Amino acid sequence: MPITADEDFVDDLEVIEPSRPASEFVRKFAADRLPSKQVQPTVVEPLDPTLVGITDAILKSPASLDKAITETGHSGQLVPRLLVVSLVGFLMFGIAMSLVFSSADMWPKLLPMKKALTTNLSDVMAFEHTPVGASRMTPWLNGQAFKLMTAYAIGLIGATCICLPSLYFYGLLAGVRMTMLDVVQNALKAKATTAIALVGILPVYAALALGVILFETSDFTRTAVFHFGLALPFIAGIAGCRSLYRGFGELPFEMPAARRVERTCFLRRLVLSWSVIFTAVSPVMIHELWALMN
Amino acid sequence: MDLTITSIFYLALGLGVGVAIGLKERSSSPLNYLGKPLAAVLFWPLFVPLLMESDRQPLDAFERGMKSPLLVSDDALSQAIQQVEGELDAALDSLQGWADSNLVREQDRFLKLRVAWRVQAHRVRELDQLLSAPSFSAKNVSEPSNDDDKRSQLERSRNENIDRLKQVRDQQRHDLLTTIAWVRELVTMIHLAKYPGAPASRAEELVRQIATAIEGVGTTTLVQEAVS
Repeated sequence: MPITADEDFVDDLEVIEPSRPASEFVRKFAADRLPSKQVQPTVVEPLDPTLVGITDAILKSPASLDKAITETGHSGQLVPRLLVVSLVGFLMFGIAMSLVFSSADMWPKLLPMKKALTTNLSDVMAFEHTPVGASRMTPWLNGQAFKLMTAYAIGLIGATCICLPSLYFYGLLAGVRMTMLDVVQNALKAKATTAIALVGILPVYAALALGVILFETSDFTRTAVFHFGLALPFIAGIAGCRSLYRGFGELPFEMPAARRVERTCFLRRLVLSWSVIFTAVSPVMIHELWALMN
Repeated sequence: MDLTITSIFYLALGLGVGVAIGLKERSSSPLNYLGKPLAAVLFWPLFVPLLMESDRQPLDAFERGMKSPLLVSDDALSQAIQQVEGELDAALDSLQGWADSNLVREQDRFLKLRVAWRVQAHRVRELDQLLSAPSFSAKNVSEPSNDDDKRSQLERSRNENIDRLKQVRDQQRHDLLTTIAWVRELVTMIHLAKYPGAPASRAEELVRQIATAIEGVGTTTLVQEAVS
């Protein structure tokens, strides 16, 4: 029985399988079986390598950013600008979380991991009411807000730096031809995508946190919502993970096209594994930095 | 080793990377000149690959080299180069959306190939100019005499050198035209592979073959000299 394909099949696979070699394979597969309707290759706009242009590309045209990364000559501009986009996003998150905590008159108290492991693990992070007489501006004036912002911004980027060699190794295992610079650019692109997704979900979280504060819910509910807030960068990281996988799919493979589709599946698992490693490393890094500054 | 010592080592390495980035960016805008080294001190693992990626940047120099008056001419060789470049561009454009990931990777080699063609043509032109000079075009044929045996031997040797120079010129012209003809053949093979629906790997293989044509021209060192 001949294999048939329709346009919905192509669209579905685009969602499931966003990498270029696999989607090209699917397009070709569909084009061969849909002679009446030509499947046109997508036209990728050139990237405007300014901060606004990069942010715009992350939101509207990620393919143009992927293309700019694979092209030579942009790396000198892309690396620092993607870093700036990421830092700005994480700083905005830090500001929003500081606002939430100061509005709730509660602030996290951290114990270094080493100490918490020897005493009680639940002491790693606990929320405490601000001292009597302290105003809502106190965390901003005594540097607590600054510490939170710095811990998240530096911790998330620092964890990426730690995990870079493993990402490079995973890419090579999957047969992707790449340099360390490709890995850095793709990791930073994923980070910038995470930061923008984080900024996107912040208003929703702010509304939830505001509701919890205004309706004077129990400390347990508040604590749960605050913990959820601190975990938001990892939820937004799903967008970054997808962006990373997509970026790796754009890089040329060191193998015949016939084997690429199965290898792409392997690559997807490796990127997912790397994301798990990153998700394990970064909270520890953020916590330790934050505890150290406190 | 506690965190303070680790931080000192981290920042010391960061300072080194920051200085290197600063030296690399000294001719760029003040924002880049100050901002990048500062970011490099804090996040140096992200900037180290930028320092190691120096061989990707001279492409601008190659593009400038392409426009150098030295390499621009209007003779038969230049016309042949222009023709093959036009055909190559058309073939590569037709690869968009089919095998473009590999194409993007080979862009720098294509650019070098174009410069190499022009440099080779320039060398042939220089040799033509040299060989058409009166002192080289007319061979001195002296009558053999017993008195002046050494002089006639030297002139024979001179004539042999001129012949060798002509052979070098012919060989270089032949190499250049062979490479051009080979690339033209590969270009038609790209079209031939695309329309019957061959896999993208076939196109990538052809693209790689074209990119390796620069080795056939054998003027990589000269290209570097021409653009520097």
